[in-house]
Amino acid sequence: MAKVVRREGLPRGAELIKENVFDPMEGMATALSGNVDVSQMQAENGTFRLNLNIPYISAKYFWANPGGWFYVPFCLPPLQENWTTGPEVSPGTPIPVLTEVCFSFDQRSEPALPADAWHKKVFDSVRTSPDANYVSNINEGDLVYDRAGNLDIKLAIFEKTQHAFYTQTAGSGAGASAQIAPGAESEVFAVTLPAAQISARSGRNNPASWDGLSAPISPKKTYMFAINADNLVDSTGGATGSNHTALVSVQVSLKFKMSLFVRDSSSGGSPNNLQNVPTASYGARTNETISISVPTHSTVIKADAAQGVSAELGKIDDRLRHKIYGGYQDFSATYVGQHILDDAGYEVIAVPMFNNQAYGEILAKPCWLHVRDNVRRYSDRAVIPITHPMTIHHVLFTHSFLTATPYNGSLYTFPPATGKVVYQVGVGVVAGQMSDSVDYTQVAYASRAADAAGSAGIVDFMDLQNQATLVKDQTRPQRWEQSIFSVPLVRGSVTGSGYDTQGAPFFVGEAARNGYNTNTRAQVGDPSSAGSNITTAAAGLEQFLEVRMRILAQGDIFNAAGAWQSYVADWANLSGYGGSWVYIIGKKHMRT
Amino acid sequence: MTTYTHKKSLRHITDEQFSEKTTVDGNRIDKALAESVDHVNNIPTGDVLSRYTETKFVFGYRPSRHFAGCLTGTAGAYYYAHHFPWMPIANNADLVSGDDPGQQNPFVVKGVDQSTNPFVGVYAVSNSGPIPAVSGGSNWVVDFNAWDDTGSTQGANDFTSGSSATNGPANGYQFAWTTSFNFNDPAIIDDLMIVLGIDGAGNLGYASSATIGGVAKFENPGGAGYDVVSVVLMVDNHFSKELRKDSEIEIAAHKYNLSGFKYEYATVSQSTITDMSPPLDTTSKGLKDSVILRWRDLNIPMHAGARARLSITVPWTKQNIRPCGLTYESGGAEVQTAPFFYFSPRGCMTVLEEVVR
Repeated sequence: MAKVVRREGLPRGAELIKENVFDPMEGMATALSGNVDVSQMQAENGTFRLNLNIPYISAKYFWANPGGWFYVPFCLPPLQENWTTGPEVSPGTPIPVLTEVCFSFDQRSEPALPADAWHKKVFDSVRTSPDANYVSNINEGDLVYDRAGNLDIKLAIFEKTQHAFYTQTAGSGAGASAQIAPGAESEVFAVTLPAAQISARSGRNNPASWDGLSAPISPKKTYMFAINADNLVDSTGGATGSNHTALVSVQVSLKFKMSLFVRDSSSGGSPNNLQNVPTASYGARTNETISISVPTHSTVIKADAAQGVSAELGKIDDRLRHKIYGGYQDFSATYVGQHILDDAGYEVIAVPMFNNQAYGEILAKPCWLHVRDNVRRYSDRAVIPITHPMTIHHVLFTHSFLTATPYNGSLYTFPPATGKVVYQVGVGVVAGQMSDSVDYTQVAYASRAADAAGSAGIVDFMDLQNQATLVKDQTRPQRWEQSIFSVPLVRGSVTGSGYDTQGAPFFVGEAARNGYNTNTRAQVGDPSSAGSNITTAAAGLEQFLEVRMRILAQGDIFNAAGAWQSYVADWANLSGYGGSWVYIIGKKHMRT
Repeated sequence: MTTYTHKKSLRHITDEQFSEKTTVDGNRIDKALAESVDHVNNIPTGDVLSRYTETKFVFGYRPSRHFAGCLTGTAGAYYYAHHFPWMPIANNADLVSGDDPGQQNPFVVKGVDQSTNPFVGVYAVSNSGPIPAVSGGSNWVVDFNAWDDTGSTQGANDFTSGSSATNGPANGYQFAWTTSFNFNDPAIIDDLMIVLGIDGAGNLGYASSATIGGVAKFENPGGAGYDVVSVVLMVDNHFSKELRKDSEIEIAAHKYNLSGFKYEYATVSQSTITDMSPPLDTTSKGLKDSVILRWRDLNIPMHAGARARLSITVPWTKQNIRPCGLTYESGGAEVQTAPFFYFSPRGCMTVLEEVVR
């Protein structure tokens, strides 16, 4: 509700009528009866963070891409109820504001940098071959004190318009006629973490943070968090001089604030508007009712008797003194009576997949035999504990062709042949830790081909023209360096909104029986039959979100004679440097 | 007996008091209502009980375990990828490359050094000495040449070699994966989960059999024994931020018996599991055989400006030792003591932060 209003002025001597005294009280009581919105709260914004954990960035990446950027694309799209298809943001859509950037890496608590796996090794065209350089280095991780003073780390957040809302053209062609995919259009944040701040014996700025920012983020644009650390490479040269160092255990945390809003709910009459929601409440709020007892006309207004000023105003005072609340309790239970209307905030969970590979990237032949035989897949999985209810509105994943393996005079990395590789991404909830039964319920799933701008589910693509991916005058057929794809939610009888046809928001939260009764859930979309509802397999007992990603060859890797199929060329880049990120986007809720 | 009924006074939303037989004039009522309405129209954060929302710091990766020459080599020779982000917990002159001005912090993680622990026995680590101390000496040039070679001699003289008999750090080090966080505003650590994930052949790169090298996964050869994984969350001391010995320990989980934290205890028939897409190896649905260490409802406050460091430590013990089933060997062809390649470390730290203006 809007703010409480009252007539101004009740001077001494004025006739005391009940409207003067009790109208504002009733207004306050109505507000506290489950209608407190953000306009009435001193802290009207929830916060959320985009957290990126990057285990290792080698000097080799910046040797192959001098002056270039290692970067991760992301976007913070409107939630389903604010979704529109055009490039404009619909009125009333909450806007994220970047308030803080945190960056850290592991220096082993010394004014030093860790030696790279390429330490003491001279980068040259011969050693660009991944095959010759797989193994671990006896010196890797060693403290290199004399290089910390050389490393300025540049950080930036770039912005570009998004293909999904403003159609763009992917890269194509080669050589002089090559067309490069669009890159950054503007810069939202840029800073240099100077060498002096990481090489001092006291007061090192690691972890570092920059707060007090106030940069609005468009829900319909794409952003890229970018890192440049050229001086990880020691250009002194020679086998004894190349003190190459690395960024190890990089943690990036971008903190945003955004106005709180109303949480998702459904009802017994339309349970499928919110998949998997506990049917005990359907997510609906039960408000506490605060009643002001108003005296009738001609009744004397008393001080502290029933229907008196103190007694009735005391109801408001009492409520606020005992604090107000909203959101969910443990086990997805709603409050018996809550006071806050806007009790949900924006949330994004970033999950790394296929990161920290031996070469930093997955190249066809050197990596595929990692799985030893003629299996057609390369898989990864992650689990995230469910600690408090959230509703999932969108799932996205990034795909990378970044590389630290540059052209070596004859070979270069390149996208796999069209139609030969797909990327399968799934999100599910799983029940079963320490129990005698394990079951999954699918939340979202997509199988995407990173082939062209017209590929199904593509949200955006970009190319910052790093040297190793571009090879300048040797320009290779490069579709993009990074891209974002959508992973639609399972769809039951209710269709939601988003980049693709997908289901309504999906509730995720722990449950309990015996009084809470939050284990009984609304039906969810049938993954094998879109548009149909099924009973959730996890039966409301979910403990974790599980994220899976699989690179799947469309056909055998080897032919009948045991030789590589021609499409699995040596350096076909199946997953670029740094791997992929899966973003789970939705609403989280206020909690104690 | 006469009972006493306490009548509450207005205290919170206004300072005005109204009692019978006192003067109640318009000015005071007006002031009380004005203060009350202003309060309800701008409810202080402290009046909101549920003023937190949570944020998840998700981390983890799937290791690249080995490489059997693909383009030019032949199968059967196992070469190991880099071991980042794991690095030794000790800082000493043997772990320096180039100038050595002396170490500021002998250990980067407080309270986990097991080199003086008399109970560790054969799993002892020393956290000292060069890596590797291999036959043929630790001369760097020798080792580098071995590493720099290609083909069958590649890595023959460093810890990545396929010969387990002569390789691995003879003295043993503990290694840590340390991630640091900065909290400019006060926050609360609510939940911490560490997963040591085991998967099937198609995923981690080796067969998911009942045992690893003859030892049940995440158990000691001698049964329930020494438990060598530690999880530590430290906050820098505000007055000596760069000295780890002064850091404040907020979470210290040592010597947990990993066999007690398996994802599942009962044998669940894989065929009965309703799976999700995309499917993984058919023998590893539901994180079978994996370990999940999880601490809930921690309620650990982080002060404004806190610099927190989360470390997971594992030992790389003497050669041929398999602490807690952390390592894997297949018929003696692989190094048995490097733990980094045998599980997929995953985790999530859940943090509560207040709503803001």
